[in-house]
Amino acid sequence: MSEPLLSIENLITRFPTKRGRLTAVDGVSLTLERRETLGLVGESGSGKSVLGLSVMRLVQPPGMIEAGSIRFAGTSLLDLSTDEMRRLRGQRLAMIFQDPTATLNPVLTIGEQIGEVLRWHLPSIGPAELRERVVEMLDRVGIPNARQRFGDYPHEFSGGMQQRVIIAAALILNPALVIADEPTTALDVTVQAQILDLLRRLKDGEPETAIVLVSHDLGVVGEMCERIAVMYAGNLVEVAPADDILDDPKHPYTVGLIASIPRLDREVGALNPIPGRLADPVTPPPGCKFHARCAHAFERCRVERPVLKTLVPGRQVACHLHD
Amino acid sequence: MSATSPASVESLDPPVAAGRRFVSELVRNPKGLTGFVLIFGVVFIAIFAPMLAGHDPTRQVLEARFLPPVFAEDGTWGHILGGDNLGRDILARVLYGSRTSILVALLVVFNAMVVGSILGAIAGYFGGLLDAVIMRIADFQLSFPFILVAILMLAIVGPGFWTMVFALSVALWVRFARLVRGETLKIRELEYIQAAKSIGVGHVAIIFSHVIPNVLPTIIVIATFDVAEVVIAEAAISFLGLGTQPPTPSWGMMISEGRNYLFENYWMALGPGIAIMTTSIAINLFGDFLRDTYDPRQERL
Repeated sequence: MSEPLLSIENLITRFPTKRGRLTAVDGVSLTLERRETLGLVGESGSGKSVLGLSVMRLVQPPGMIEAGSIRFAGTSLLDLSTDEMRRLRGQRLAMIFQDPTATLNPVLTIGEQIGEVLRWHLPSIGPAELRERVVEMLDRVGIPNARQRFGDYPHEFSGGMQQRVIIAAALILNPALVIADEPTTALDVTVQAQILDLLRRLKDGEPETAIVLVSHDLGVVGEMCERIAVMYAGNLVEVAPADDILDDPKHPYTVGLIASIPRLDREVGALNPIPGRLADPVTPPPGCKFHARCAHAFERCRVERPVLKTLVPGRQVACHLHD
Repeated sequence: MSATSPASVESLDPPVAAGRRFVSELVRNPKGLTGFVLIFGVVFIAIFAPMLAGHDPTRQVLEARFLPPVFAEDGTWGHILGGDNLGRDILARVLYGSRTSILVALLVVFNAMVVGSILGAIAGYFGGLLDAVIMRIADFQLSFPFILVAILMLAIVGPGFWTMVFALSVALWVRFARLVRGETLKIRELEYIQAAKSIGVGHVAIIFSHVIPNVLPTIIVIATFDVAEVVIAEAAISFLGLGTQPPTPSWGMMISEGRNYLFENYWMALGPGIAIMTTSIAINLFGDFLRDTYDPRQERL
């Protein structure tokens, strides 16, 4: 059990654009243990979704993984044939997307869409057993009257219920790794809490499921996850246990992210945004990509790119301030 | 759990619900209803032609040569639409002719729809070289008028009923291919396609169970319009002598035969002409109704 469930080494994913090659994931290394819940946070465009899609090998062409390795449960994902990779998806690796309404096909019933996972991975399954297992799963994700709703179409469900259906499809085969890409962003706040609670309960009931929760919301991630990885402009800038990162952030970007969370328990004041904009991913600045927005930047930050270094076991940060 | 919930909660089967919706929309739409009733009538005639005709459509009766229709001078109720140049009953020939016209139209549209939709979906979904090859063939073919392509194909494979079906199918597939390709380009970028991939569904299954069902309403609407066009094209090709061969009656061929006598015996072309016009109007009306009701781009999901 010494080998981690997922280990990503120096992953680079790029998209060719008219202006040049856009580097969405720029040399990310990350490991994930079995049963772990890892939060992946960062602002829009930081590359967190592309990192998730890279692990699934679902980066949309012309984007492609240019370098690095992804080892999942002992196999190198980037060396698998497309067919071998397809067999892993849905069975060992699953993904939950942001917008439940867009993720479900409007012309197929939810029973058909969840059943599709079973039909692909268990070809010998009969229609009665398939129906039984789908209904049981719908019940587990909290869809009332699951048996009656098997034949309903997606538009007959609310957004929160649709997300439950998607979670049912993702988890029906007990995958070892679930990548949840902003699963609650499109939902209103009360439903958000229900969905997160559902994910947590389902995970606790499984012997080996690990979750990567991609989000721009540190509050959500802090509540759900054991560890948090902060991403900025395609790089990991800080990786640490959730409590440590929230109580004592090391990287100036993480400090800024936490400061920008609106707080109800403090005096009412202006929001605290991080000044400036995300570094251009086509022509990134030299040195640390965050230096233009960083209050603590000094000469070295403008010329040398910091690498992720271990401060204490379990805490990593990429910043010259912590050398 | 489910045993305690009342049976009335259970919603209708999707096909039953869809059927009820179809009927309720149809009775509220006079144009659609007219089209539907006329199409029903034509199909009814095609099926029961032997019982309705009263005469053998190929039997030649000397006294009936150029017999005027009942509404003209010297007409008789025995031959309501009169007789043709060989003394055959025109009404019987029009009734039997519906069989040819409808059969050709359905076969051709079905072939073109299946082949065109699949090729279009493949082109749109995979893109690249496959897309380029399929769509350049389609563009090339579309630069010629539809009927000219059909006639060219017939010139190559020779005249006859089945070759006509083949030629018209070849001429028609491009419309479906272009339409489905365009829709597929849009659909393949949607999240539910990505989601299907993320649970391990293969490309072929994505095309057949996720892409095509979403284009189906549009395909069906286009198909009804094409049925009307193929009825007319069959008439045109048979009129040129390249399609249905004598003595099998076909509306187009009857008009072709009547052309030589148009000034003295106009009624030889009148019956089949009205039949073609009625059928194509009926199908167009019904197609309009289907588009208004089922095309997802016209409001609702």
